[in-house]
Amino acid sequence: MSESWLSVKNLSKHFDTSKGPLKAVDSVSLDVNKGDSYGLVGESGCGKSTLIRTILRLLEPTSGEIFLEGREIAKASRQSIRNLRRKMSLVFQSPHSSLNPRMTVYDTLARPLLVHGITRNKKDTTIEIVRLLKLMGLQAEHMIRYPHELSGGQKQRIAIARALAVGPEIVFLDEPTSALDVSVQTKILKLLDLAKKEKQLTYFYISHDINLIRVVSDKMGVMYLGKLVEIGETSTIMKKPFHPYAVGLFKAVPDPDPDKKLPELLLTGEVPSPVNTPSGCVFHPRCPFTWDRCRKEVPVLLKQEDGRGVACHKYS
Amino acid sequence: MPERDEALYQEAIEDIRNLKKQRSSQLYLVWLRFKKNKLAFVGLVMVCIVLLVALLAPILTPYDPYETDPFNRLQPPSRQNWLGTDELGRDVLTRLFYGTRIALLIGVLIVLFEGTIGITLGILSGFFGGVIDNIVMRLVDILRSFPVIILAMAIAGIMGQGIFNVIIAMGIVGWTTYARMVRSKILSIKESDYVEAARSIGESRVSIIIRYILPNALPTAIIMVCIMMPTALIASSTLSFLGVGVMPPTADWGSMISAGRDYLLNAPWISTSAGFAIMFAVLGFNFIGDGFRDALDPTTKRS
Amino acid sequence: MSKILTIKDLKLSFDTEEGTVEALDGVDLEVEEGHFHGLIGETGCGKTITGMTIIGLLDSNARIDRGEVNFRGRNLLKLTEKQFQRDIRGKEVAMVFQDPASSLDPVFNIRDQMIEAVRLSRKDSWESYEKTVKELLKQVNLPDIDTLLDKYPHQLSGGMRQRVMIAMMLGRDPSMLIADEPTTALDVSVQAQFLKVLVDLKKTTNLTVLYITHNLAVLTEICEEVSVMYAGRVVETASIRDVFHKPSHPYTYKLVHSILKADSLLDVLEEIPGAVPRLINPPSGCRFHPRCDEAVSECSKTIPPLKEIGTNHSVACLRR
Repeated sequence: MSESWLSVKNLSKHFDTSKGPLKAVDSVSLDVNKGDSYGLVGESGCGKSTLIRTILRLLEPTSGEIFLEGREIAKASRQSIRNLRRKMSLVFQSPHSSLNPRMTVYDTLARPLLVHGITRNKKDTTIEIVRLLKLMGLQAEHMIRYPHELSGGQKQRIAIARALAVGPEIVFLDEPTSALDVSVQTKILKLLDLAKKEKQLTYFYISHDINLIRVVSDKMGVMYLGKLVEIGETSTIMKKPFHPYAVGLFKAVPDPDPDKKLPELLLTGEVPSPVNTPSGCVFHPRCPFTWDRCRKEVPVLLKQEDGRGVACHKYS
Repeated sequence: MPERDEALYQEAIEDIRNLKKQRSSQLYLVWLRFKKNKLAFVGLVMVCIVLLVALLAPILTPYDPYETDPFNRLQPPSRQNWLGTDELGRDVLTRLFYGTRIALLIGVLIVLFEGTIGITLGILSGFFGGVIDNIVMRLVDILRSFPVIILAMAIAGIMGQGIFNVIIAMGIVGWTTYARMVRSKILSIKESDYVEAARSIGESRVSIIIRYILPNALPTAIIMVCIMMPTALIASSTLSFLGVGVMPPTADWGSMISAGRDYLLNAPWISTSAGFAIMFAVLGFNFIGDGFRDALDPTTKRS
Repeated sequence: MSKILTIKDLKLSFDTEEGTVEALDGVDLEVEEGHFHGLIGETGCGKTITGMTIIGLLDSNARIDRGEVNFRGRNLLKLTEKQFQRDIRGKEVAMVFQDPASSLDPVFNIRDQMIEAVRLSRKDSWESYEKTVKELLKQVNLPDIDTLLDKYPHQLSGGMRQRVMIAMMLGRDPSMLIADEPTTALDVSVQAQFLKVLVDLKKTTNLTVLYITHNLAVLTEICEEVSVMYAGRVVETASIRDVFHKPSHPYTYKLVHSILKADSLLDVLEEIPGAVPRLINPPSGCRFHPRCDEAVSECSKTIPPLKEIGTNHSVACLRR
């Protein structure tokens, strides 16, 4: 039994490939409190998308446990997964591909309402849809539009409205602004913030954009090659990351300030393939502090004095 | 707050009504795009002509396509017989007109028959994958390794001549093309974000097939039908030409070409006019197929 | 200081099924020799098309309505395709694209492709070619060059391919490089390595770079000047410091203040209402006016010219 509202314990998701198992998510444990905004940051291929899809049970977990409000859901039956869909929803990165091109906005938003019997007649459905549209700063007239008639920002707002329609308690946001223009990004983030307050939601962001995670999350995790390498309060980690990968990653982000010069390069090379991952600590081939133990022993997340968890032998 | 809800509802209905007045329907937009494509429009006109001829054949000609006239054999085109007469003295134009009926009937039935089998199997195979997919696709491989016409000839040979045997023979081979196309389309739709999104809101499998996959695969199916129609026409004519299809004396383009072959030097109008009729219908359907392909997809914008 | 590239009042449109897209509508741009010049804008603002015009790789349905593109005093718009191929493309101006995979030939290994590129610029012995190739690859910080030479493009990661592209382009020793979103498809850690390569090149060569991107943050690290494009026009050109500290055009201001920074708070981030306009029937007058807080009625009638408001700082706004 766990005290956290959403608790993931040793969750793994491996895919079979011709070259051997691909460990997309490897023994990940994390906790999310109700009402929090959790941010997971990592580069492409680190397994963050796979992780949330496994938590959402869109993918079958290979092993491990997921608890939602103390109930184990990693092995939930199909019927109970259907009920889970009312509690957890997902917003995709690209609104251009996540909306059914042959459905009007009305149908797109009506489906979640009808599937779960939230509204029972056309009038109630319409009213609920208008409410969702207004929450997202859109008008009723958008109901009869098709996705290709909307701008990127509008489409993403529809996608968010769809995720909110089931009346979820937690919304997973997979890079919700990275497919959008900079000038509409703020609008989306503010709308999400507004919806969070109004509906008392819990958010789980994943992104490659450290600055986005910094702005939107209270707690965060850094993921590398299927593993969480550092977790804790966003402000603590952002101020001074401990794990060498997190340090290098944060340094690599260009700072939009012309007075600062290019920082020193800490991360060299590139993320290795998640098939046949390096032995011991998966980061050791790129790490400037590697010693013997790193090659042999897999580090576990250990709690530090300031409350964060770090998976590095340097901090054990 | 039921009053506020009511106000919200009325306002929304009003908004939509206003917008609908200014907007043209999706079908109309498809039509506009279709119309812009000149070749497709020409194709539509050609197919309409073929359809009208088939419908109005008895009105358009005073002759009977089966009444022979031994004294009027192999007459060149004249005022009485615009396209001349054939070896039994029948009016070629009249037989062409009535041949349109047979051609369309066979074409539509073949396409319906092979389309139904192919699209259904394509959907099943694409959506469920696994064993079903394996069985269907291996069957497709096997059937496609035979030359289509030879296989159809063999089937027609076993079952005997006749319109319905031609349809069955063609269908048994023809469905593989549909199954392949539809399957690959379904596979790509299945991997799309919007299907995953549908799963994430709790849609059932049946609902995902009906509401998300089929509507997006439909244009592919329609285009397939339009493209396969001319193929079916040619194939059925070929079978008749080879003598395993429609039986004489039925007025059929393929058998007309075949019959006219013996008189190609002194009465070329029999074969050539039937050949031209086939070409006309085939071109018309091809143009329409291309037009549909461009018009049905709202996302592809040719630059 | 001399300008290597001057674009004057460039107007370019595309004929499409749906109508005429006014992709560029009077673009003015000046690039100093030896400088890194940033060209920033959102999807569809015309930044890539501007780059393609300079290098003469426009689609066949593009129509240049007016304007000139002067490169070292030569109007590129007047050149034939043959002249472009012989005198400009690759030799004087090179371009690096977002997707390096599509620019490399998949059937040749890196050695063959690199040598081919070097061979185009001078005739020499095979050994000397290979030596040059190795030097070039070293210049872009590629590790383990000997094994790399025998690899094929698909065996390299995105970041390495992008650096091979740069090395290949350097092999012909061009005066100017157009980089079109070269790091957009890369991870931040790889992007940082790529930017480092550019900064090193800046120190060691006199290369001029036109860096096209939608990510303003990337530019701060490498560019001297920045031109901001919006809906087919350059709305502001200034030094990188002025763009950040004294943005003048309302669009630039909002853009700069909507970037997520280390100390950003969601509440103070600027948002721009509406969406980027479509360029079939774009807004009249200043194309930004429907989204602008400061717009007056005049803005919808008059096209604001790009005028100087300070040293190396010009802006196209009627209210300035």
